[in-house]
Amino acid sequence: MSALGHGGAARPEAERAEVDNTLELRRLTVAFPTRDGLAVAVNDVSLSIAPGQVTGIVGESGSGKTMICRAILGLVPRPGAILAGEILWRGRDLASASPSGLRRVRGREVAMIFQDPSSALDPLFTIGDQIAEPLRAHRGLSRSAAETEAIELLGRVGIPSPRERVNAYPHQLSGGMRQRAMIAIAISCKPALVLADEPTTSLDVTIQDQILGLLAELRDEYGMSMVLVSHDLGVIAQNADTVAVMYSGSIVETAPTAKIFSATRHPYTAALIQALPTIHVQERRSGLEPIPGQPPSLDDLPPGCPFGPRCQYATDACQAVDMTRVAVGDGHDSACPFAETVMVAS
Amino acid sequence: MSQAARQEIVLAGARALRRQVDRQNRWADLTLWAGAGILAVLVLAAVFASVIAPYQPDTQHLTEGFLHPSGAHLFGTDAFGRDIFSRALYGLRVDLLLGIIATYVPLVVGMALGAVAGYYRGWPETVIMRLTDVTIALPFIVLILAIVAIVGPGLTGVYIGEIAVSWALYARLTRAEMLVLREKQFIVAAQALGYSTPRILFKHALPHLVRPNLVFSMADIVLNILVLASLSFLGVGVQPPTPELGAMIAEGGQYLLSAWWIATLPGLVLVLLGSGFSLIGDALADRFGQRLELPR
Repeated sequence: MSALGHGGAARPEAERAEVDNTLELRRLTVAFPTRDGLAVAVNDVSLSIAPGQVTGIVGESGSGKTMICRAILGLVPRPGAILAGEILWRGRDLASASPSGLRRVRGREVAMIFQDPSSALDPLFTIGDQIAEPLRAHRGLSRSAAETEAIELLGRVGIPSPRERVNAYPHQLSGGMRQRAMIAIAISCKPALVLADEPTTSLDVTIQDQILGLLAELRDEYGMSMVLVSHDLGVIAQNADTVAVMYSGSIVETAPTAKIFSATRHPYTAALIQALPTIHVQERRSGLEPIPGQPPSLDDLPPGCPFGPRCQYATDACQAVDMTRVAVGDGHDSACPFAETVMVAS
Repeated sequence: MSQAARQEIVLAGARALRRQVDRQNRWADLTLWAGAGILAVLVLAAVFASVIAPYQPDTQHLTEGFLHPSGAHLFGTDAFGRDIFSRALYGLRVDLLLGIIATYVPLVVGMALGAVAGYYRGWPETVIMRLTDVTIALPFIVLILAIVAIVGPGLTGVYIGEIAVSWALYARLTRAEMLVLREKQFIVAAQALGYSTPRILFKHALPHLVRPNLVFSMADIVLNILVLASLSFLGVGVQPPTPELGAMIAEGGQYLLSAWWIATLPGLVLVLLGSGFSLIGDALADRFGQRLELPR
């Protein structure tokens, strides 16, 4: 999959080679108090993000993808909170880290790219200032050194004539250019892990391709790991090494990207793929099939498997499923205990 | 329809829109420059009062009382034969200085408290906002009168009173703006970049909070000056013989029918001062799309 393979050996700086850059989520639960009880946005999620790899998280709106990213950086919006679980990063647990401990990780070790660059950039500062700021705050560069490096970074992320564009304000740039600037800010301190939260959702398809290509290049160049969050299976299929499929706060299936399509082992993943429009859709026996029903409300999850009420294979036994994933193949887990029998049969 | 004709229609529409925008901008500009012009003249007059004033403000010429405005005494003289024009210049100095200090000291204090309340939420917000509520709930003048009663009549009491009261409006305004701001993506992005809280508050939040506060401060200056004038009118503000516009109006009130200029002309200066600030406030509000009034 990744040209770099496992381990940080390809990282540019030797000191980083000794650090294990695996991010490990263990039974993470994030919840929000509401008038009707507790809305569980992330429900008992365990996930391992391998170094140097792109881990895709796919799921529909409200399935908890973004909340996982924010939880990793300790930025769960109030009144939500991490209720349980661990986020292990370089021998520390970010879920229980102090505010100052989290600040040392943010931006320097783990950076985030936001969905909508037009609102994630400060409208009152030039993009040059905004790229130079982490360089000055975290790496102690002087004003002129930071500006020189900001120009370099702008060039690196593919903004033409960076020398003039450093002085541009966000509103003077196109959406694609803004996202490139946002990426330049994120990689400015050479983080080991980049959380890309729907980085191309606000962009049109051609720009989307360029931005994803740029992220892949930068990943190889800097030897970063990346979490790529998207609701678009196509984006994930082309760019991720492994995929985690989320539904209603739970990860239902994780697998190497190719396997998720060729050897699907969860009814929800299968239903998502069925609902994916392709140019070959007429050839598909069943055509384009929407998933019936609605996702459950997060403050009123059904017992057992949350997909149960919409699942065509569901039985009464599904109400006792505990959503722990079991291995169904090499690097391939599914939370559906009946996947093997039910899905292969159909 | 020919292509040229179609093009002409589109261009005409664009020109009409352009003219409308220009007209709005010109009006805002005109208001701003009119206000700035009035203020510039008054501020210069106050600063150089000692140079411009033809007479000493406190020197009495009991034989020259109640003189009509004339070349020798532009605004006439009062009951003690003092030159009202000279007194108005010195009075302007007192009023302007109080207006500026009693507005911008509370602005800084209120912005800091409001920003902390809005950013941190939790108990700091509860403490600060309940304090704000209490301060705003009490009638402004009555509270200042109480403070003046404790400190004793004079400018010191007015300064303490106005500062102790008017920070609350800025705190309330800033907190409301901060609540919106803290959910903005670029503030979350700044947090995600690991910036320290002071850096986020001062470098990223503050520039967005200055604008509404600045617009409101223009209305507040006028209010604060009028409070001083009212207090002096009531006799608890500036004490004689120090010249102050409100006090001069109060003194002249009893002669209004026989010597109208004693109260009226200093009153006009006060109106001019208020208009100057209000015009600037209106123009800034137009330009920034902010409301000038606060929900009390």
